[in-house]
Amino acid sequence: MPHDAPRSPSPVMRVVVAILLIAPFAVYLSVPSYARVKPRLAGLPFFYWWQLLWVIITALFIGTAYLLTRRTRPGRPADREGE
Amino acid sequence: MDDVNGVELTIFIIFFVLVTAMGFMAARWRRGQTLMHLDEWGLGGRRFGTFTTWFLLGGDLYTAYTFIAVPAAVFAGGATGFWALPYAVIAYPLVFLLGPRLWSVSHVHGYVTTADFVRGRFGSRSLGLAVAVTGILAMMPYIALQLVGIQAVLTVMGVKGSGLAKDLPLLIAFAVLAAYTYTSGLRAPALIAFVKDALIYLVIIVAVIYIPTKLGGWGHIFDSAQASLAKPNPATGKPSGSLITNDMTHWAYGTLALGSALALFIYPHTVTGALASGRRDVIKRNAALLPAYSLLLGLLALLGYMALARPDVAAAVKAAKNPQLAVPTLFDHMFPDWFAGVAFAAIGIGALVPAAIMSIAASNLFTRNVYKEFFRPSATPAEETRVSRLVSLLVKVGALVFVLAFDKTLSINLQLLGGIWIVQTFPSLGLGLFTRWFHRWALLAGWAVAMVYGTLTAYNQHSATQNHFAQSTADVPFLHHTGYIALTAFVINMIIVLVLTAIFRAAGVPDGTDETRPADYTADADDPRVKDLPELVAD
Repeated sequence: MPHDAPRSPSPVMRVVVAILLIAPFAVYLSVPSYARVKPRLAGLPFFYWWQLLWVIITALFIGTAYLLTRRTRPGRPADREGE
Repeated sequence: MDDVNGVELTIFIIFFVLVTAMGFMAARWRRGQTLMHLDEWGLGGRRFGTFTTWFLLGGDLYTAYTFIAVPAAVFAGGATGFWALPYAVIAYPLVFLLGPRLWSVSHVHGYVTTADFVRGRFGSRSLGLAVAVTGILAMMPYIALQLVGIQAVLTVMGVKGSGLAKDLPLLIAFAVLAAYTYTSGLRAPALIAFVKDALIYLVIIVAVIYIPTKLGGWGHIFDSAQASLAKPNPATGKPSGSLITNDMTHWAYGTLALGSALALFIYPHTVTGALASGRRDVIKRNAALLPAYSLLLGLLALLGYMALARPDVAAAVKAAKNPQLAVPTLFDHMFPDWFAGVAFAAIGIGALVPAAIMSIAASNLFTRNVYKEFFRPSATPAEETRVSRLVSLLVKVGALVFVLAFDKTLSINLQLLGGIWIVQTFPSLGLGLFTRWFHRWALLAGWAVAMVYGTLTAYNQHSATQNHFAQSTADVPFLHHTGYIALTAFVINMIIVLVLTAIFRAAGVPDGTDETRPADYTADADDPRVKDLPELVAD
């Protein structure tokens, strides 16, 4: 194999990535928790701005998960980063 | 046809001609050695980067469903129609998990379709066939939804009539789509997606800034929409909806979102778009970047409320008894003619791009996993491509059948019907990327039972206006809640898969051979095992 020895992500890293990816499910699927009109934001009922806000948060979470896993993914040498 | 809006229609046609020219020229874009290979015609040469993939997948996933069907659902039912937003968000952690593994294993083994992978992973031709047939079937109502979207725009521009004249513009649009898909393959929608997305972003940003100022602000829009939704529906005598979900609809909301999210990445057209990317990382990056479109989807859904808040728009849409007209009618009333023309072009092109990718994906499935697998094992790459091109035409005819045969009261049901079917391939396809424990026959049995259950349950849903397929939600057995049929069928599917796998393993029923190895699922473009196009041609 021409590659460096695979490096597995640490257990802590795995837990963090798992939380980042599971959180959006927990938020969006607990429907009664956000089925409220108030507080409104710029006229939008809570139901809407809360869910729209979590679009951005989810994107940031997935982006973070990408950065965390990119450095440790097995089979890819770290020094090839950023090519 | 005297009430045709000339300005709108002229601008619509100019954009349409422009895009058609691009579609035919796309054959030459980043051209490989030959277009007569399925990797070239069907996957654009597999070289797309983050940027192109973002546009292609965006063009692929955000369709007439987003611009027409979701706002229509919000217009007709309020908050319950907004579930498409959570769906379009929670799908991406799944893309992040499944996408890179599917990319790697497909590139190591030269898989073009989802069914290629399932067949190789579980060593079962019949399971591969089941996945292929489900994919082709599920694509048809989804393509039909795109046609409904184009139809809605044409109707509002005044292009309507009776008999053949009524369907003629739609048929012309479709014939053009079919022609450039035939000649250019995946390059055509990839190139057109740039135009489509630029137009869509422009229109939406203008719409969500301009229209609320004209309607007295967001607060006023929501208040008027609520008043309108609270009025009793003449057909049922009950309010048509509310601004937030209630005890009756929480379950439907959550299950529709989750069921659709499971479906998103295993749809043949999504996989086609994802496999066309040049590197594994491109998919991971896109999982974080694509939610930008979901933000658009959420704002678009709110256009349904704007249509409700404007009395003349709401009255016109209700008089036509077609909630699909909500967004086009709103644009027609609120924008100057020339900009409404641009907006309609955006919606029309936004429906054509995914329809092209979907028909390519369905025909790849047919060629690789039905034709070559069962009828012509010795087919050459050129013959595969020829068959794929022909089938891409047939699939569109199948979609037309859905358009003509189905009630379009709520076109979102077309997409949800496709979802009911495609989710039943999640155990072999989605979970199969992570585990090889499931037995091939258990997967086949679970799929078969869930397909029958899902189809029958959907068929039996009736309403005041429809005898069958009236909605995609039904009572969930033992729970006494209304939920998305796809998810109920998926749970039944999984129970059968788990129980039968345990039984088959205990009884020592022979298992298929897995041609993949664990390392195949993490290989990247710089890995020597990942084949490039010339090697695949030489195979």
